[in-house]
Amino acid sequence: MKKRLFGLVDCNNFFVSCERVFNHQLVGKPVVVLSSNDGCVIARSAEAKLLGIPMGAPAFKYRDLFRSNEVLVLSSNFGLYADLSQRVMAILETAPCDVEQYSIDEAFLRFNAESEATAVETARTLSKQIWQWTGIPVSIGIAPTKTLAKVATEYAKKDLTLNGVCMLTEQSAITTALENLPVGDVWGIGWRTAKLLTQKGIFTALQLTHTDDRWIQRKLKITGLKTVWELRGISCIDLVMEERVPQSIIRSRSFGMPISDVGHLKEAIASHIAHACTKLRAHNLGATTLSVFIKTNRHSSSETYYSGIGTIHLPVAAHETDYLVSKAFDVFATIYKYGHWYKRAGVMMHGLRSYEHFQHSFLSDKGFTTAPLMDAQVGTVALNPLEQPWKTKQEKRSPNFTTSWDELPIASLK
Amino acid sequence: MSTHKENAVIIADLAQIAATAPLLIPLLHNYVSAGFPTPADDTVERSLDLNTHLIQHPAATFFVRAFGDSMTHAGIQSGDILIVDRAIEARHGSIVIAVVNGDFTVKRLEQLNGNWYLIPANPVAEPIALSEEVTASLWGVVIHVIHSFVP
Repeated sequence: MKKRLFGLVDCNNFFVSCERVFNHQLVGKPVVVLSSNDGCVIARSAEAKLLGIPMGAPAFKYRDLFRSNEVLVLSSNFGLYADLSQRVMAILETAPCDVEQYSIDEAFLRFNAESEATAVETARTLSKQIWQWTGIPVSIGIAPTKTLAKVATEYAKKDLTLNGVCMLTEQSAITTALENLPVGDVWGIGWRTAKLLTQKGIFTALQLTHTDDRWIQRKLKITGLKTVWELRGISCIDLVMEERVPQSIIRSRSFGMPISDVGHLKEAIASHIAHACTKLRAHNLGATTLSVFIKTNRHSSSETYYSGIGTIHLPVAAHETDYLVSKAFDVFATIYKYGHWYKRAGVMMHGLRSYEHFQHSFLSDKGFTTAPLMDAQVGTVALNPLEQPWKTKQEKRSPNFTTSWDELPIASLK
Repeated sequence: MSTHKENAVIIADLAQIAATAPLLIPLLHNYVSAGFPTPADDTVERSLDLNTHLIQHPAATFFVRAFGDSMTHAGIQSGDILIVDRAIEARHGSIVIAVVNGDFTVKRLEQLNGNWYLIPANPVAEPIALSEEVTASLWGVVIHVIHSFVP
């Protein structure tokens, strides 16, 4: 019987790797990438990890460490990361296996391989091709289940002798791997579950596989049981082939500096609505509930904290940008309080359903086909960055090498 | 300070502009190449598409801007956009993007007596021999150059 094999392709230190494709000066050095608003560390190079910089480290707290170790600090450049991610995924789509993109830098594979050797061969070829075509290094783990494939990938990353590909199908190898895997590091086991398990004396993944099924089902429910079965080598989590339909869309951003001007706040809200509508249209959905919220800085000593939220229900499932912007402004008017300096604004859309075409009297009779172009126009008509104090801080963002004609990488003709 | 009503006017104007604007086709919108052409496709006349004509490996193709003293013998001038393919193998005579001392450069790749060299545009400058010790690497092969006569 042909054994079914799963693979997990994981880009190494993805955001840093993306930056290194276009900036060779970053290679071999400690590099960190900060979250939007330059808040905390969301990516570290191997060299930065060795310095003990943890994931999620607040940037201001580690400023001195960065300086004394000459750590290169970059603001996140999601335009670049999304573009390179798309390329990696496109290359995976050409491989002789089914692909499920799991995150911006991970994808599960389901091999239609005749043998384990073929699967390894495919993985090695893919890894080489991705490196040559995009400059992104990846690690690939192969195992009988998705959960074990994730374990295999960790070994592929850490053990340099494996050259980026790790096959975990042999039972003794699996047992050893699970023996050395803390239960909290298992895919599908969150920190709360991990706490519950360690309190019960279950510290390793191997111990988890020896735990009674009925107890697991009671405490960890069916998803937990599936995870344990997967650790035992029984595949019960298959590839998710259809794109997950969003249940709700939430978009909010903190401002670079607190703002009180109504115009600026409305601009920020309009921008969030425009983005959310793009996502709605992509899934052919409309929202039936719209919320808008604004908040002042919770930690400010000079400000009394104010958080306002308003919600309206829409008569039909809508996704037209200007219609939803006008509704959002209506809500905003009811929650805005004069005199406050706001730190954050956001929108939420719930009750997503199939889009219902509706002739809104607000719109001109030109129809809705102009909406996507309109969003592009809204983006460009927006005032120049100097007049957009609500834009998040991105002081050290690399150029949009692959998404802007004005920011292409430059090669010297000398 | 803008009011709700003013915003309404602005958006209506944009709708007008958008309706008459030319349709923009984003380059390299999708990196997944089209499938096999079918015999039926031959009977359909389609508009010429620069993307498919110029680019064989979308996922491996990048745009780089050339800058500096011209490489006119290769047909590249400062300010030109180079279309660079990382998927194809560089050969003797290829124009390549090479990373030299951490920076992108445009060079011609040549092989002489079994050794590979990066030849700079400047005829007086030294060719860079590619060896283990040299801090230079090939980034991609230049397949086309876009030179614009209008700014």
